[in-house]
Amino acid sequence: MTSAALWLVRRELAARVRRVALAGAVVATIAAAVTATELVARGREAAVAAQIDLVGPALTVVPRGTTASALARYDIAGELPSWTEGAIRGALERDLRGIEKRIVVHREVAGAHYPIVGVFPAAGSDAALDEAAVGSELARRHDVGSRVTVYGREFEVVRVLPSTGSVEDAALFVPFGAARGLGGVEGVNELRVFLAAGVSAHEAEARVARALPGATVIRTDRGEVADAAIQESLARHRAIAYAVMAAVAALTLLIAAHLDATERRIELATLVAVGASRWTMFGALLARSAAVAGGGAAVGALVGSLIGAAQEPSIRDVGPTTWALAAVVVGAGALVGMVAAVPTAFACAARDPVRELQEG
Amino acid sequence: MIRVENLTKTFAAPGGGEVQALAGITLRIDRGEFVAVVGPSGSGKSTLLFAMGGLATPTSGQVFLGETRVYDLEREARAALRRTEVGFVFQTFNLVPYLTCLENVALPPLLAGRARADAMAAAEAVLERLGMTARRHHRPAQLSVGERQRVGIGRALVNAPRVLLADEPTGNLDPATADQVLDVLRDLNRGGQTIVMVTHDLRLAEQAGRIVRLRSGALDLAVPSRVTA
Repeated sequence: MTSAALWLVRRELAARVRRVALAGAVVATIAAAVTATELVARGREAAVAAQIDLVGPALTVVPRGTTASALARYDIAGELPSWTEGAIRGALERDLRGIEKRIVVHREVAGAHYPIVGVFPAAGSDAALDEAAVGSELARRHDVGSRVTVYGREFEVVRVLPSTGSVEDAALFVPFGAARGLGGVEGVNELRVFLAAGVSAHEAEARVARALPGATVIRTDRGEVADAAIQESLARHRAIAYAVMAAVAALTLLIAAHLDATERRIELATLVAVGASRWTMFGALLARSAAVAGGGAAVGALVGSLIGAAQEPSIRDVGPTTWALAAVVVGAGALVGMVAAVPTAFACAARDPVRELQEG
Repeated sequence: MIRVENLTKTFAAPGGGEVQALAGITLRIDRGEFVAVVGPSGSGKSTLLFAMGGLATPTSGQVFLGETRVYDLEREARAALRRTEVGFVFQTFNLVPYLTCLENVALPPLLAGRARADAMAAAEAVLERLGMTARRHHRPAQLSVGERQRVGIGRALVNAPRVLLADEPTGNLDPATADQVLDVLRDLNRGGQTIVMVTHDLRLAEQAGRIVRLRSGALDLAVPSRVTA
């Protein structure tokens, strides 16, 4: 594109700002809606993540060498040293809400291997030694009332646990002592650490890790994982909504470019007659539409940021997220504008300038 | 200077069939000539003019500008030729309405890639030559029709083209203003500018150095062309 084309576009838009106001306003409205929605959504996502971090996930302490993915499969090797629980209590002190001790072994149940989870009974628990709970997946084969035999020991299924989307859905939960007997172990191999409300899991993880150099500390992040799935779904829906909005903007810009080129057909033919090349004309039409859309998007991004800030206090400070989002909105707006003008530019390039000049 | 050899141009008619706008025209225009092309409406005058300027691709035949076969050039090269070798003047002026007079005249040099300051300086010089300096910052809508046509002529002249092609340049002007515009063209011709002017006004055509008559897309040889200068 030549500088003459850009100069022409600038002069035309400066002189005819009212003519492009409608198309620019449509783009600005859409850009404002996208910016505000996205800023608020991101602000809320960050707030929820922070909230989950504060109230939520337990830390899981497992023997050294156990990775997060191994834990996700309940593939835990070895036992934790007997002093582990005390070290955790010492590290967290009043920030600790409770510790759940577990022993996890893999055993065959009715021809297939399942994790058997022994849970240390909470104070006051009246669970009998031959009672078991099953995860939702295992419940398809062993529902409440059925009996499950593991290594010759029989358990009655008394409860089905709600689905968590994790390996626990396929696990058999038995009393701690029973699991120890099945595994032939004395200690525990998983400690679940629950934190007092308001304590950051990130900070607690660091403190426990410092106190337990011989163990692996994993932030389970279950809440975040569950939230991430929800957020992912919402983000998908937002993306679809944005795509529809972009299509509306593109259609508006396409119609605006077409009407403009029709109205200016003699002017455009004259430019060809005085020597404007096809690419100059093409570039001028694309640049004009991109400028209208980009300008509208810039105004929209500004308005959207203000609306977003009014709705979501956490984004009142203009940060990199806001700038990056505004840049993306303006860039996308300009791109949509450019693409929307392509059919008109091709149509103009195909017109016969002599016919336009003679009929004009 | 300009040679037109056996030029034909056929259009598809709206109701089907074909319309022959030019039917084998051969014509030579020498450097420094002022040629008026006359003929009734629909005789192909404007089509011939646009064909000579590299704007209307002929169905057959050749147009030579100097030694250049205009329609052997690629589309972009023909655009470049129109920027530098040809200047068009239109009946309805066709000035860009949102540009000032100065900017309108500066348009061809800007399209030719000249620097902004350079283009504006060239436009200033042309407007001064045409007595339009005082109006240089006015937009076309703020000018009289005669002044608009002067600006149109300025735009055609600014790149010092080899030939000025004027399509009914006085067609929208009252007789007095038409005479003024014609005076401008004759002054330019006296300065050596080659001019081809399409007109239906025989009174004005007689002011030109030579008259070429067209009838139904062909040269009308029944009436001899006249040389007045």
